[in-house]
Amino acid sequence: MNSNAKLLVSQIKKHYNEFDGLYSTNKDNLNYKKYHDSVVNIFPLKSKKKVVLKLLDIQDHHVGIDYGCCSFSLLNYAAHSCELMLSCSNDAKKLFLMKNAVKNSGLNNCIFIRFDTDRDILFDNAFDFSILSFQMPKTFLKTEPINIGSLCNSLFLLELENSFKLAFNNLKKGGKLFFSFMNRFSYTNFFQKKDKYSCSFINRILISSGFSKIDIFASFPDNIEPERIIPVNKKNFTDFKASYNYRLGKSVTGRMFNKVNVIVDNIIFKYLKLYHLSPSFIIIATK
Amino acid sequence: MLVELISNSPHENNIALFKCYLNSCSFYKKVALSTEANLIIENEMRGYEYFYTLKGVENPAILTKKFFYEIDIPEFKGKKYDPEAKISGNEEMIEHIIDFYKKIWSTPSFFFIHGDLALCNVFSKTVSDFNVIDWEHFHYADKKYFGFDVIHMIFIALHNQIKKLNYINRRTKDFLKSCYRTLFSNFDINNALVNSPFQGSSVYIKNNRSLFKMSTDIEKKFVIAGYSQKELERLDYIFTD
Repeated sequence: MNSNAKLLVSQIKKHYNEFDGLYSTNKDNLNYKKYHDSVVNIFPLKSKKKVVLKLLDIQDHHVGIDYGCCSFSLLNYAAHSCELMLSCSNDAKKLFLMKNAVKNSGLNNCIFIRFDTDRDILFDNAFDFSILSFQMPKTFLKTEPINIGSLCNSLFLLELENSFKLAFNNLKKGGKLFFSFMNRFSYTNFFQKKDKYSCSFINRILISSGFSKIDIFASFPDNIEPERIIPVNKKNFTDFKASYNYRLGKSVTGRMFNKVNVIVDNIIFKYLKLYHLSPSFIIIATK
Repeated sequence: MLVELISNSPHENNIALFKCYLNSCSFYKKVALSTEANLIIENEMRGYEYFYTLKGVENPAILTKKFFYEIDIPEFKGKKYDPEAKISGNEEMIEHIIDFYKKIWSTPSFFFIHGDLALCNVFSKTVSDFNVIDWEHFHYADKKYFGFDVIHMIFIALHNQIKKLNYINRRTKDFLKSCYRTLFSNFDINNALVNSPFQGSSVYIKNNRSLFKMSTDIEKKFVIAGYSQKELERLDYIFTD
């Protein structure tokens, strides 16, 4: 372990409580069972997910942090490529599952800490990269009372802005933040309520949080298991041709919708090049 | 460095292909996403090494062995072909590739198979100098399978043509026969593909799955393996007549 990582480990152990690994997983704990099934049962399908971390250009000597650690496979892949990985969450069941999974895969360079929601994780200029696995709230449909949606949205945005500021403070100069989200202005969400989570809106929050360089990537067909990632600001990228599956199931309707989506995607992105309508975005923000 | 994801595990092989832009240069990066995929990347590098050794030039591919392996491949200059390229319109190029194949593949004492040679995996710098990419299925083989790669390449182009036109015209039939004559002129008496090239190639793939490093359904990756023996027999008749 390099000196930077060693110093960080001693800092973590001094100021924060490492997750003790204690969590009840008995049959009555439906909360854990549900989470375990959602992560573990679909894990073999998740290797595709790892590609997104290539955008961070992780080096062997890097030290990274995963806020929320809600996706084990990203944490696992990042830990394989760097010196030290810190994972923090306020959710014991996530930490328990991931700590065990990391242990089983033979990794010993991950530290798990459970933090209080009232207390920030502060390590000024310590990390080379950050993964913000922040779950966007579901889009509120028009049928829902507008006041509930507005309330949740404002709370979420406040939290998002604070998270960006926290991530910025903890990154070294030149360090990178990974953040991905579904585009609410995509034509696939046309019938849903439009809210503020557009690419330009997130971009503005990132700039106001202090990030100097922001690279935006359009991600197809989604940001979870992308099959095509295109830098939006780059003009001469490889020719776009939609050939991916929208994972709408194998039913006749699912296959039909998939074909329609692929045709529409080819028209919008291959010929018209309207990338602000892409289904999801990945943002790499550099301090 | 700016990166663009071109494909992600297209055949469930846990390999992603990126295009990277650095200053004014661009190159491709193949990345393994699992430890099993590391072997495929390593195998691909071996393919490049042998190919460029035979060509007598320096291997431009660079292998990086991190926990997950990566291989950097330059963006080769020259004419590129669509994965859907047909025989019609590409006859001259196919003839040049057969000449190149005979020149490169015939010389060594050991014999190797590219495994997935297709027009879209060949870049022609000049009519007699080619770069070949996508060496994931590279392996050594018995020299009696000489011609496998060219047969595979012709079959893919023919498959694309049949799919689009639904029949094989007279001109294509004549061209196929001329390709067969060129490929197997001075052929080894022990050659296993000379009598029924398409059927023989399909059987070779099906019987040697492990050599092709295929973990998933081989018929989905190799179109020739998805054809019935009856269909291949009919195409063999046209090819060898």
